[in-house]
Amino acid sequence: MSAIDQAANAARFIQDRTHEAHFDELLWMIRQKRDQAASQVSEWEELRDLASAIKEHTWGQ
Amino acid sequence: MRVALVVPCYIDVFYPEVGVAALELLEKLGVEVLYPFDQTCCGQPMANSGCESDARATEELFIRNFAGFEYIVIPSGSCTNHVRNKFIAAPLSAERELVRSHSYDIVEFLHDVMQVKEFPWAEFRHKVALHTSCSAIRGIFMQSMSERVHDRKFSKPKDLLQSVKGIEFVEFERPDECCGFGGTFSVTEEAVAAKMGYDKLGFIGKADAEYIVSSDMSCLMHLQGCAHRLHTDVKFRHLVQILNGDRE
Repeated sequence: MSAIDQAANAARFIQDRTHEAHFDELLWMIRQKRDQAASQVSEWEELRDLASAIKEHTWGQ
Repeated sequence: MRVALVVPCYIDVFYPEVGVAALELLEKLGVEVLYPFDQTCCGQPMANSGCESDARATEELFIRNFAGFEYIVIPSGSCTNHVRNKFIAAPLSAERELVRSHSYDIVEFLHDVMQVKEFPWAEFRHKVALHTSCSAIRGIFMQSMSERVHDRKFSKPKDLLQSVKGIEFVEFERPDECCGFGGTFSVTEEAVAAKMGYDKLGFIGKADAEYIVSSDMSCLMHLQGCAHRLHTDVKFRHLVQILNGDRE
């Protein structure tokens, strides 16, 4: 398998303005939904810290 | 009060007027400023690119120049973040840890250490978009992060600028997204870096700002390059230039 040239692929993707703009809008919509969900869960940051700790623990096995 | 001033390498080379403004501002506030003349770079460009062994001699030189000072003041959030949080290319020593724990971004130094509330000589009658760098926000916590929705909202650079006569801040979309610079990221990922810069300028352009102001000149260097290619006439200033009294 050959190495992926991320930078060249990104340049090609960005040249397609319409596609890139849609992708950007979609990602930002997800971010806004995420913020909305997070704002309703008071222990959101605590849950994130716990999730990080689980990941660290698992990596350490 | 006595401080050692770091003038980051890219400021020294490309924006010496920002280093001068930092010095003048500190002196206006009655601070005794020492400038170690052998200083070069903090090592961040090499360290961020994964070239840790290449960063070692640079970090060691930085330590020789600055170890022992109570306050090491840096007009750059990204250099401060490197020195405080990622300064491990030089081997562990008491001097290295002294340098790490005594380094301050100039915004932190003015806001937290000196607790300056006003800059009576400063006046800037323009519409300003304040850009705070990723390193300053997420590395040294100079401003709250929009993704941490439950945190108290704050901005140390805005606190300082707010006392400047005539200044008007404009609000723009996605204010704490990266400008796309990211040091060597803008070299290895040119297309993505440029697009991020254009997007940032687009949001700020919609808000009709005359100036983009930041405490990180490296973000402004990138955005300035993008603005030049877009033929946009927005202007750029480092925060210390405004606090020091620049009118334009």
